[in-house]
Amino acid sequence: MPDAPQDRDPAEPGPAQAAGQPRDKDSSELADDYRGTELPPLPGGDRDTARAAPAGSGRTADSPAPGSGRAPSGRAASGLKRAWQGARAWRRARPFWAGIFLILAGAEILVIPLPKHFMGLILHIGTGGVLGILIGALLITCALLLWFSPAQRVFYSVAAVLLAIIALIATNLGGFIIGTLFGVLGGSLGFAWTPVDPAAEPAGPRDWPWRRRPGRHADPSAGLTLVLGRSPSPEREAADSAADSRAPDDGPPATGTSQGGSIYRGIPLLPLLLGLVAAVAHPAAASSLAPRPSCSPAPVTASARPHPTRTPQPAASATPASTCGTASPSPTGSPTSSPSPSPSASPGPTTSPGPTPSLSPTRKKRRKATVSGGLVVAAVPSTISAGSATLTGLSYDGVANVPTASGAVQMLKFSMSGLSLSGNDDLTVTEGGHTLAVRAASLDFSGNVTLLTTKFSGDLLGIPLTFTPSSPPPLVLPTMVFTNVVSERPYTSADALQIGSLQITSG
Amino acid sequence: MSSSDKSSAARRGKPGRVRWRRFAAIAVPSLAVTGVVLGLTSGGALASSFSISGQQFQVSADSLNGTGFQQFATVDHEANGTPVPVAESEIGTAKIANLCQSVVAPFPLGLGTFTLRITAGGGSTPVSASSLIIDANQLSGSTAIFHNINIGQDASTLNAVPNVPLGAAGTFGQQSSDITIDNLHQTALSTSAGTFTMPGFGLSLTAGSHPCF
Repeated sequence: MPDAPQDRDPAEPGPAQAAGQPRDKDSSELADDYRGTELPPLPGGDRDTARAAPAGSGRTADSPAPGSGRAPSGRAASGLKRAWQGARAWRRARPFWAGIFLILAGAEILVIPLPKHFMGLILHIGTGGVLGILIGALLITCALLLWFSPAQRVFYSVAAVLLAIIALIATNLGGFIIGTLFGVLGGSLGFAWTPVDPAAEPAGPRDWPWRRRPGRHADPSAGLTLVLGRSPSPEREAADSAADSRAPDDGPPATGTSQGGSIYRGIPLLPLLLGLVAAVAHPAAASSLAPRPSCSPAPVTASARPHPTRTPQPAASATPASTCGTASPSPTGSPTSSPSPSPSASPGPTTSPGPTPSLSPTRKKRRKATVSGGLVVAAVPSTISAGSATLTGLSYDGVANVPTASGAVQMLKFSMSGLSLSGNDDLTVTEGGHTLAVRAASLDFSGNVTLLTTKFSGDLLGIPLTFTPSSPPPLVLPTMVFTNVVSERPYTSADALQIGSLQITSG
Repeated sequence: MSSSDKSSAARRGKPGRVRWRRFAAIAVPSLAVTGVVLGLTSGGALASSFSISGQQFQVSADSLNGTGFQQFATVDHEANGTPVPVAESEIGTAKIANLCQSVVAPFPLGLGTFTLRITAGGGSTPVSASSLIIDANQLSGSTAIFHNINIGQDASTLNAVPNVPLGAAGTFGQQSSDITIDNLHQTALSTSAGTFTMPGFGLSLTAGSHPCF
């Protein structure tokens, strides 16, 4: 009501107004908008506030005038009614449904990647998860700001729409598209919500932003036409302004002139922001967000496998250029040549640096083997069992002092050219009360197969045999076939592994 | 009318309404951009980022070809906090033929169940993913081929895939330089992928239970 007569002024756009000089009317529009917030009214708002009472009593038909709630009913009922009316008035005075849809969109996008338990899982969610949580939280923030600061609704609405589209690329296809659609819907509703002047209510088709009078609202059309691909031709602008002067303006725009202009100009940022997100999604950028591993071993270590030979040549095992704190066994001479205790002291912090306990004089010759530098085997109990095992090109290398996270462990070391397990192959790992079971119909290792184990048992031609580091195999043949094989704490490496009917279950 | 009523009315602000042309002015171009983004995704030109947590879902594929693979056991948690032991597989880059991913979840308010199903890479171009992490409590394949494999390595020393979280010190891990699994079926609890291109992607939301396998 208050501004309607001035709106109908056929004010011709002057250059000064086009430059954004706020007239008295504009500042009162601003004051109208700021009434939704706690901000103090601008100059000129006093006059406006004084007129608020008739405007309030002249609300839409279904909105009762203030004071009608004081019906002669009970005091409690009256209070309830007032509360209900207050809630309804609150809901009507802001883009309520826009906020609801934005909250739904944000919650959906946020919940999908959210770790349901925060015990270290935050590392696992990756870039998409981080972006999902951020975008979801921002959408919810936009919704709350739309409600509690509706004067800036155009900015929050456009931001919400952009966020919803960005989510499409950034996180789970925008919550599997649902979140994006809700976000676009909510943002558009917020953008389209405008305070009603009851007198200007029936003004219908006058709300296209680019149909605004060029002088006062020229900026909006510049932004939107960039998005929509419309070039504002002079004829059209002339027609628009002619149409503008014919029909009355239907209420103030979302915000003041200068504010609205800058917001509209933000719309063409949309493709730019999309490009930005694409850059974020780029693996290089993504990797910078991902957690770094605690150590970075040089690639040499993987291939620096010492060759434990029986000839007394010094095993040239390369010292691992590893930066992590794992044990790195120093190269030891070939053990067969010298029975003297050459202590394979490992300088790594996780292993005991003392001489190895393999110096027990009970055995005449205790062969010692080395493992490749940097290798740390698992410390948890694990077992591999198979109906039968065929070991080809087999040699027994000795007992190796193998570092683990809980200290060095003595393990038998076998080298093979091929290792085939068949018949109910089961690898069972027990960790913290849980088991990881790998079951396969066949496991075929080939090429430079190494087996480290703390205990190897099986039937050789029906005779049960058990080998441990304290009772190592007296001799091995190049090819051996065991049945009912069980190997404890096995570590296996090979050039290739083929598994038939793999099944991994954890429970 | 008291002055307090007047000020509260002023604070509440004017009632408003939605101007539907204004709504269309932003909703239509936004939906058009959404469609273009989805089209580019489906064409394999635009990569997406994925991260799902706390909801059991199925993944199946005709074949998975990965460069850089490591796996170890860890514990995930369901939405209600139940700990679920899982095998965490990490793949540096993967090509996945005929990927299917399905979530069967209850509708809110007890309105039965629905299935969200994503398929991609069914044509000649496979799905490609980088920094793929899948926490599965069941995994199976008809054949699996690994090269340069280590089984039984300490999970905190795995180094086949860069820039991914590792297992706890002392736990059982395995890694290989590359991996091929045919007829892969997984029941997973969480997944994340840095980038995911999905040529020929389709998404369906249907009532009832229609999982991938």
